Amino acid sequence: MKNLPRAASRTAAGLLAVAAAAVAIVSAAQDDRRPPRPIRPPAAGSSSPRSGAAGVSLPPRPFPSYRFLRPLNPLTDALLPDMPAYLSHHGSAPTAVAMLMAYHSLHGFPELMPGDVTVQGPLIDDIIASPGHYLDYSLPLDEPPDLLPDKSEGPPEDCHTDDSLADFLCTSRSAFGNFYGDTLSVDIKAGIEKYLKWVGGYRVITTPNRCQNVAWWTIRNEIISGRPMIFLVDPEGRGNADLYVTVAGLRSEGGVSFYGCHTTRDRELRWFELRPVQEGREWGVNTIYTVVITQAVFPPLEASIVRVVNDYFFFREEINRLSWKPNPSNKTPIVRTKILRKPLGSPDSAFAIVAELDASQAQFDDRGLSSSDRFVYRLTSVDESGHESPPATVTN
Amino acid sequence: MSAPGARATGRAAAVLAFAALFAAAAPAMDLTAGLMLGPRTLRDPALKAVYGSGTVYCPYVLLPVGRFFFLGGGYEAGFSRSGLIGIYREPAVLKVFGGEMFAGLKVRFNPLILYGRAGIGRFTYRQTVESPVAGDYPVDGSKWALSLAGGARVELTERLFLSGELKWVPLKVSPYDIPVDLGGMRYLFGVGYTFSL
Repeated sequence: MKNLPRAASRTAAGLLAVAAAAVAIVSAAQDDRRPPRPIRPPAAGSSSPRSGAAGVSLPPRPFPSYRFLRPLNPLTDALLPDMPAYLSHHGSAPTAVAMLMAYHSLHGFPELMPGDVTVQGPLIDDIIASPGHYLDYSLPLDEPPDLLPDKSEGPPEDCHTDDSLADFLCTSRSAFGNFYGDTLSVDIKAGIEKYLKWVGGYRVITTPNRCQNVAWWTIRNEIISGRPMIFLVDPEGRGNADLYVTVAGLRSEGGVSFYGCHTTRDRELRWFELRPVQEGREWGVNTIYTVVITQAVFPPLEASIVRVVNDYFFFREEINRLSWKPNPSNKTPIVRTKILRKPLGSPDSAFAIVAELDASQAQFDDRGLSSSDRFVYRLTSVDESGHESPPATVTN
Repeated sequence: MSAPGARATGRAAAVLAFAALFAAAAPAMDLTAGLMLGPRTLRDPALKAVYGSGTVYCPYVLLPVGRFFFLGGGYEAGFSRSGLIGIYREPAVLKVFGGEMFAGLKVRFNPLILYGRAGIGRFTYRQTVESPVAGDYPVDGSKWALSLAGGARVELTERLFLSGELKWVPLKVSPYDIPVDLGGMRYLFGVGYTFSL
């Protein structure tokens, strides 16, 4: 019995040694699974620290290199493999948006970009930033801290008509405080919408979100849904995001999430850690723009209204007979025509649905009216995805 | 007195007058009863186009008053016509029925009796339409109307006779400010019997 404590202590020591060895083995294995840290390039000196700047004047910097130990896992990772890759053409924002548009033009929205979008030829360059844009807003070429006035500060009639992504995104316009190649982050949403309106036939919902407000699965869901995104990132880790990239992939390894993007600085797909922008943290993400493009839905054509009297001998029913034609511009199947009405002279808030008809119908009788009833009607088309067109309006 | 009050008083006076005449005739103790039926037309061409002509049947009783006059009362029913109405061709039914009291003059040319009569009747009209808007405009009303008729009676025996009659009721109604002519001719044939009480 006296030797028992000693034997127990020896047993305990042995167990501790085994446990320590096991911990060491597990730790080593975890080190193997953990992705190698990026090879940090030396800090560069000159670049625009301004938020939203395009950063086209940045000197070439080596990208951080990650050695992934396993291939993409389809259960957790996502990648759009056929994303066209463009080099920056007078600004990262129009170039990144052009890549996004090019991807969609290859996947069901062919009119978004002209020509062969897989190769960045002159046609693509002109869509990114037209010669008119370069002459009116890029020149004189300027960089911080000396902002040089361009034509955006003169009368609008002296400028060319907007005809490129850089025009719609207000890139390089000194009147907006932009240096050459810069685009303000607040102009991305409106710029994309203007471009889609200029192209015609499509509608877009662009949603900007701070990186820290976007869940990992949201980004993954966008990518597996075939929707690349625009990220505003901070390549130099100054705490100021100044480069727009087109994001086409998301992967996780060793508990770390990475986004895959085309940076407009080369044509490779580059992977960076997905984390919010912070000083000293290279390629941190400031803003995530999700972009959902759908076919535009157009309202019925030639909507008209005729007053009809239905005679029941003892009383008469007044009817507003509405008729219309389906809009041939609709490229998605229209499943319903929605009809709303309000009394003539009442506010728009008084509009109420009176009928939802099958798309095969092109006439509706609003029955049971009295001779003094006067109404304003709105007719909208609804496609199979539930998207509703702007209204066509007819009045008694 | 208001106009509706005057009309009610007039109706009451007419009923009392008929009652007095019946009472005066009671000692004669002869009562004729009969049943007539036949087609009934609609005067309004639009109504006629939808509902067409119908058939009515008219039971009646007569009480002779002296040698040349008679009083009576009857009921007219059976007119129920279906049609498709309005621009949507919705199913509809029109019914007209009512009772009447009358007084008449008769002239005998054995075995033929010619007669003419006039009276007033309370006629009910009802139109039902299978329409989503018809519920807002129910058509179910009644109206007093004149009744004019003339005919002939052929006595087959001392008490049994056959009769033929033309009757016209000018019935115009307007339940919703739209006048509708429900009047029309009745071409009636029937049989009757005179009871001695």
